[in-house]
Amino acid sequence: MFVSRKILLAIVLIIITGCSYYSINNQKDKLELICIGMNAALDCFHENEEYKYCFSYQGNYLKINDERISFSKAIEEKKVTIDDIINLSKNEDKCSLYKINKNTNEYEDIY
Amino acid sequence: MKKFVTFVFLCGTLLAMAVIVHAQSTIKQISRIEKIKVFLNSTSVEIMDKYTEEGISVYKVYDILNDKYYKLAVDKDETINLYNIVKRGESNKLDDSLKKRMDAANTDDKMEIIVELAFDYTELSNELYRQEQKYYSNQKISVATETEKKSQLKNLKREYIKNKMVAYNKLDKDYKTIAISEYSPFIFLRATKTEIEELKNNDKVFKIGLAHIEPITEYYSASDDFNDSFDSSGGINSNVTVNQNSTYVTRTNIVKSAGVTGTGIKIGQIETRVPNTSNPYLVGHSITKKDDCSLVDSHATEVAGIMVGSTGVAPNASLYSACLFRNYNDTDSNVVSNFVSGINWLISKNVDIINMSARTELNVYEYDTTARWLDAIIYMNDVVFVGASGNEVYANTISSPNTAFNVLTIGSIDYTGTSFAQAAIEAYKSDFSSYTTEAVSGAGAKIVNKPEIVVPGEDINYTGVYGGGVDGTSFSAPLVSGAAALLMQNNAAARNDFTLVKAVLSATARPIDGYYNNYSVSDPNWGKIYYNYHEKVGLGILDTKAAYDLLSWGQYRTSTVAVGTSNSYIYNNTLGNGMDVRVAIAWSKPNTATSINNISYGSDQMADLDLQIIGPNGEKIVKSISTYDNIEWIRFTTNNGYGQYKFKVINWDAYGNTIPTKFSMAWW
Repeated sequence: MFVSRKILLAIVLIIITGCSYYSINNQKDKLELICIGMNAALDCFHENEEYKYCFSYQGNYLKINDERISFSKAIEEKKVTIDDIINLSKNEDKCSLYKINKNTNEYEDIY
Repeated sequence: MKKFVTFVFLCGTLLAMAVIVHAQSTIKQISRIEKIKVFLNSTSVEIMDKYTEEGISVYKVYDILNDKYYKLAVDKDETINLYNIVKRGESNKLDDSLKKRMDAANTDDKMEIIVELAFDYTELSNELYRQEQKYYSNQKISVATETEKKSQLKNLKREYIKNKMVAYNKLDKDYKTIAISEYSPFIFLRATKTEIEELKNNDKVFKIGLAHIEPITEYYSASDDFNDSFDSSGGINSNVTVNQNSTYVTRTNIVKSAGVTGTGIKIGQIETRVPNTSNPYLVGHSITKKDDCSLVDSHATEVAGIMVGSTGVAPNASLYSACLFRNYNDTDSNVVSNFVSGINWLISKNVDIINMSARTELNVYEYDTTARWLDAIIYMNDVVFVGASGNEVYANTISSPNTAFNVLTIGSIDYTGTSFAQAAIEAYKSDFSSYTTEAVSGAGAKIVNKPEIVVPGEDINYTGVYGGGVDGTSFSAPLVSGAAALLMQNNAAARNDFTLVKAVLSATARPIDGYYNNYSVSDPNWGKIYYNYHEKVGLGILDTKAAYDLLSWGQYRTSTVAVGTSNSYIYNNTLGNGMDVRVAIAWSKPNTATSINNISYGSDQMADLDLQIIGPNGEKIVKSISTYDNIEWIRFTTNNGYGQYKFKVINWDAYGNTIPTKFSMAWW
């Protein structure tokens, strides 16, 4: 069977484009938690019906693909979940993250 | 049966061994007491207290025959010495945290370090006294009131210290200098491990530690500012209603309502950024920002509002604001130099009080060289330094430099109402309020007791910048700073002596139900012996009204107690029957070491004062026994009837500390 060079080239191009598209759309965001909190106020950035989530000091922030973004904005825009932030804080000894029960005011340190 | 016999035999052997060990221990004790008698050349001694410190047995002894008090160190080889003796052949020049960092560092890694220089504090102290005499002999003093004179004198002394320090704070080799303290013998460098080893061998260097000011490993840009963290606005949400609840529970509002508003008093503020003076609650108030501090935030605005805003504690006091972070180009080294230049600037502005509602570095649970620096700044320049204890839920998380002895460290309670009534408060320590459990006196004491006092730090909202309110010890500390300004306004002695402010606030702090420390130990000669702090809330809640009245009514004394003699200070106080009395003494922790040879056991030559209360007929009522701090506190009831109660202060450091110790006493 004869296949012209043009058709072969088109097939190759389609495959490359498809792979690139797939790669871009399935690339995992690079998430970073930068812990530099210095102000001695609690930084409560998120709450639901039962809990509120606070860092022990103000001044920490997130980087998503090297772009800085606030915790609340990142959650609001569904770029991260609260679990993502919890996981990040576990690996960071300069940040203390509290999950505070709004009814009992109990603090759970989820470091 | 054989097994049973074996079991009984083994038990008997163990019992016999226990008896022998106990007997040996008893014999050892008796032998020690005999040796102590020989050492003191006395036939009659009373052991007042004993504990272990760094493997050394420490005895507090009363020589009944000669009516003298001694503190003795009994070595493992049973050698007896007076307590303040030189650590033989051991160099303590490097802080533990620095040693750890050096172990982990590569040869070329540079570290921000703080270097304490050996310095003759006695000579400086004598010269400052001469300055004071000169000032008062000058007939042309330009100010009218006693408090103004104290402020002028303080400024004069600080100028003298600056001239002395700027000339003195130099090393014989050029190191990468980050900053130089202008009011204490400390310099800040960026150095490699090799350079640190070199510095260690320099005779002029007394101590070296990490400069514990939080490094900013990622820097900001203008676009980085956003509303829920380092909020650059410091503005106000117009829908927000502010409140002053924390001034009610601390009875600060009563003093303010009586027209005492901090007039003439200068408060310093140092934290990440500076306040937004356009905030409606700060407009029209005297706030001066350090020239190079260009960034504002809500945090600094709220802290400033609590101290000098129209809703705040001392609206007529002047505020001077310095920052740890000046602009978007700042680096790690800059943050260190900003801290030092900020303190330099505040002292040069002759501030009476400095408030720091910022953390420096997390979990540096150590009395290190950075803390020593603040102790020296406070001691030499007579400034009241108020620090937030921090927001870490775990115990033992108060970080340097808030571990400094002379800093007044403030924690938070969770009460958000306005009632002063004890029953209504039902206050508990805020979960986040940092504290220490290892600050017990005597054996094992690692860190001085902190916090000293607590103030509500939840749902705080004085300037409307945080919507419905904000939590943190950041907002407890400035209430105490503002209250200190009120105390100083009409009392020259308080403006001239940070230990008096500490003693007054300690004596009047209200113990909290459930946290009241009623710890007592058995002593055949005394009814009760107190550890003076509760580990979580210190002495209790700030009571500004009581503190102000205490000063107005003259219920305080400032005096000096000589060392190594029986010249204990006694104040005879005539009291009625059945009174609930609280007495506190506070003294400064000096950096007395003039050379490496003067490093002493444990408390770095800080005097160990004890407070005793003796009844009208000589009854021993109560005494305090803490050994590792510079505040003593006692609460007792005058159940021994109307009469003269003796408030007695004893200086235990027999001969090691050659400087008589100045202290302040207050009772409520």
